[in-house]
Formats: sequence, C-alpha cells, structure tokens
Amino acid sequence: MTRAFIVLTMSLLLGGAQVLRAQSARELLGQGVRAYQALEYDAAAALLEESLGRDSSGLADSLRARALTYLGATELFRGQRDSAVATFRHLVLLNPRYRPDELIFPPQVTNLFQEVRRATRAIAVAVPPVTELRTRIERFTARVLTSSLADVTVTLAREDGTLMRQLYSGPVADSLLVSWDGLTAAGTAATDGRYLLQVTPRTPTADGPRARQVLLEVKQELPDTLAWPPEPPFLPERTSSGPAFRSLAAGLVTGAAAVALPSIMAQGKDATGARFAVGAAVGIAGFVGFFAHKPRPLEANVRKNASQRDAWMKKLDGVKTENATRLRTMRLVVRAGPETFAERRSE
Amino acid sequence: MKTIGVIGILASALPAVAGAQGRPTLAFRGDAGFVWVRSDTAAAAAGGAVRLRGPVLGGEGRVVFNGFAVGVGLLSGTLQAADQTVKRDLIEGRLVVAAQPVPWLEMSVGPFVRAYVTDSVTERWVFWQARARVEAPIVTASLTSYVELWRALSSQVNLVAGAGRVQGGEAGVVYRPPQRPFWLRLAYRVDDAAVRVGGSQTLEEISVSVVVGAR
Repeated sequence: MTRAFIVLTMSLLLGGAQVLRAQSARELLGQGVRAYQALEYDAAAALLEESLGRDSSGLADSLRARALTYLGATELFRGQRDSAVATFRHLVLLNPRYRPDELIFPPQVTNLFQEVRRATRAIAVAVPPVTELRTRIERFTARVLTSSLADVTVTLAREDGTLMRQLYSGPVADSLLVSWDGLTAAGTAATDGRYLLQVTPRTPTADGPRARQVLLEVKQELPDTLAWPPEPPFLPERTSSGPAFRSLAAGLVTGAAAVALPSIMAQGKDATGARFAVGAAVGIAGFVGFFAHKPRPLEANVRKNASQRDAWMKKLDGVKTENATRLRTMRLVVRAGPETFAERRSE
Repeated sequence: MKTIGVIGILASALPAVAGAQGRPTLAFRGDAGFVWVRSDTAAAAAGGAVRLRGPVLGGEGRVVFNGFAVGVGLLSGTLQAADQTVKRDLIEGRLVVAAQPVPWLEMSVGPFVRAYVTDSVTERWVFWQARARVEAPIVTASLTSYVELWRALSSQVNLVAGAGRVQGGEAGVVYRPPQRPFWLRLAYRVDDAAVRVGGSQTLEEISVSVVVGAR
C-alpha cells in the first residue's frame, strides 16, 4: 500500500514537473515574442534563448521553429548577423521546408533565411503515424523534404541495418513522395518486425545533409478468405446393393422355410424330400434375384454428376485462386515512430 | 372362435374396402401336384403307420375386390400305398375369405374339409382355418416368394379318437412372366392333424400351378 502510494506520488510529481516545464518554455516564448514586438531585442533574445534552452521536450517542434525564427530575427536586428545565420541554420535543419511568415517578418529577415536555407543542405522525412495497406495493391507513402537540391537514396532496412528494399535513388529538389507496396526485394510481404525508413545523401560529405530515418513497426494481418463452395448433392452413380441382398435373403429364407416346414408344423415326422426340391428352387430364385439386382452404373446420373462436378470444381478453383490472391496481398499495419538522425555508416 | 376370426379378417380388410372404388376381378388357379400322406393314428393303422401317395389335381376361383377376396377351392386325387394294398381317394374343399391390409400380407379365414374315401368308409375332417401369408419379392413384380402358415380355430373328425390340433404351412415361389396374362407357382405344403388319443396324419404336397387373372 505504502509502496504504491510512493510510486503514485512520484509519478504525479514527475508528470507535473514536465507540464510546468512545458508551460514555462511556452510562457518564455510568449514573453520573448512580445519583447520582440516591443523592439526590446536584448530582452527578447534572452527570453527566447531561455525558452529554447529548457529541456528539449519542453517545446514542440512547431513552437521550437517559431522560437528559432523570432530568435534569428532578433539577433539580426541586434546586429548579430552570424548568430542569426546560425539560428536559421538550426531552423532549416529542424525543418527543411519551414518558411518564416512574410506577413510577420520583414524582407531582411526572410531574405537572410532564404540565403541560409540555400546554403544549408538538410533532409527531412515525414510519414503518417499509422498506415494500413494491402500489399501490392495499396501503398505506404513517405514525403522526403530537402532544403535544396539533393541526391538521396531512400531505403527500407531491417532494424539491424540489413537492407530490405531500395525505394528511391535520385535527386530531390524540394519534396518527393516515396511509396512502398509492402513487399520485400524478393517480392514477398514484409514480415512482422521493426524497420527503418532511411533517407541518406548519395554522396555523403562533411557539410552535406545528415541522413534521417523513421522507425516503422510493421505488423501483418491475415486477409479474409472466401469459404469453399459446398459440394452439390450428387446423384447415386450405381444402383444400391440393398435390393440385391433383399432378393437373396427373400429366396434363401423362403427356401429354408420350405425345408423347415415339417419340423415346425408337423414335428419333423419323417418328411419326404419334396420340400428340398421346392426349397432349392426358391433359393435359386433368390440368387437369380440377387444377380438381377446387382449394382450397376446409372449412366444418366453419372453424366449429370459429371457436369455438376465440373461446375463445382470450376467454382472451387475460382475460390482457390481468389484466396491465393488474397493471401498474396497481405494486409499490413505500419506504425511510424519519430524521425531521427541516422547514424553514419563506417563504410 | 370362428366368429372372432371372421371379424378379425373383416376388420383388417375394412380400410382397403373403404377406400376402394375399383371393379371386382376374377382369378382362377389350376393345380397339379403330388401328395404324400402318413397316418399313424390308432384307427388308421393297427399295424404301424400308413403311407399313401399319389397325384392330385385341383383349382381355386377367387373374386378379388380391392384387397378383399372370397375364394372356393377343390382338390382331388387317388392315393395308394407303395405296395398298392391300400387305396383311398383324397378330396379337399375350402372356402376362404381373405383380406390384404398391406401388399405383403394376406390374412384369411374359412372352413376346410378333407375327406379320405374308401369303398367302405369315409374319414372326414372339417376345420376352420386362420391363415397368414407373407410375400417377399425376389425380382420386383415378376418373381415373388411366399410363406403361409395356418392353424385350425376348430376341428372335427369322424373318428372315435376325435380331432386335436391341426396346423400347417406352405412355402413357394411365384413367377409372373412379363406381358403375359398368367403366372406360375411352385409350392410345397405340409398339414399335420393330430387326434386326441395320440397319433396324427401328416399330408405333404408339392404342386405346380397356373393362375389366370388377378390374385
């Protein structure tokens, strides 16, 4: 009980501290923006740096971009051009597609930003948080963003770095939509597991853009398959053996009855052999009946069954083909993690 | 006892008769057979069992009306001992009222008279029979086997010893040639008539019959 209370209290304290930190960074950003608007650039710079200096989780990326834009503009107006360039460079690396609002910032700010953007080569990749797709038919899409023209390679690798599929290799001027059909290079559906969607420069240089990656968690979901068509009620293809055996039984039982009659009805008194003649005749008649009713093929039924069987087999083959197609088009659920910088490979 | 038997037969025939709308049909049967009689009654054989045999001819006519039939039958022949020292005429007559509640079963009842006639004396048996006949097709509609059993509901004989239990049975096969107005029958029957003081008369017959018309 005491232990649970301590854990709960600690969780609340930690969670509360994070909220306070976030609010504090946001408040600092707000105060910095207001100071910038009041042309109090030194105060604005201090507040904005303070807001950015807080824990990295204190501000969302969009707010960080806003803080960096105001900080860059503040530094520019403070005459700290190099600081402004460094801030904008940081901003471009954060989001290569970001543009300062031209209604808010004057041309000298936006022009400097464009200059920095052109000089800073950055890559970003944006993916939807969850994508459900049927392999081969539907596609998972990722948008590759670059701050300037860049030659990139987009690959899908296993978590251990093993290449699974190359999705694109070539130049990207501004943004590029890359899609994946859910298959490996071998043409099979990707198995359950974690994969890395990596966007790397084709010719890595020290001042070139850094490779970015997104962790994708892929999970297969079995597709619905069709039930097999029920077997049609086939007609009997041979006559039943029942009548043959009934005939034989009738003959043999009656023959036996003829032979046994004196024993049953006359206490077996010295009967003549006449009963054997009749018993044998009836028994033979039973055998005649047996062979007359011997099972034989029913041609009309055989023909009708053949056509029914063919039609059923066609339906069955159709369902099998459809199911095979459905099984080939596995359903995948792709969950994307956050975008991170990819580690440079030793090669 | 006789009354109960007749009522039973009529009751079993009622459903068939009630639903009947057809016309009555006639059937005639002619029999040719051979009979063996073995008698070990005290009156018949002071010195052992008497054995007689001989050919017989007979026939039966029936009026059939939707599962209900009335028939009259007659059989006659001369029987002799193997050494020809004993000779008797055999005469049988019967009246039968029959019903067929289901296609495979016929039940009948009626009086039956059998007489052994010599120059000096006539031994006459009179009994009321209740009969049940079961048919089993071997080849549908053309070859049928049957077994018929009967027992006397009451019996009389003009012997001093008096009549006891009388019963019998018949088994055979009937062949109906396709597209022919007649059918053939091969049958074996045995009757056993006991007398009260001991001993009995056993009659066996093998016969071939031709039947014309409905059964």
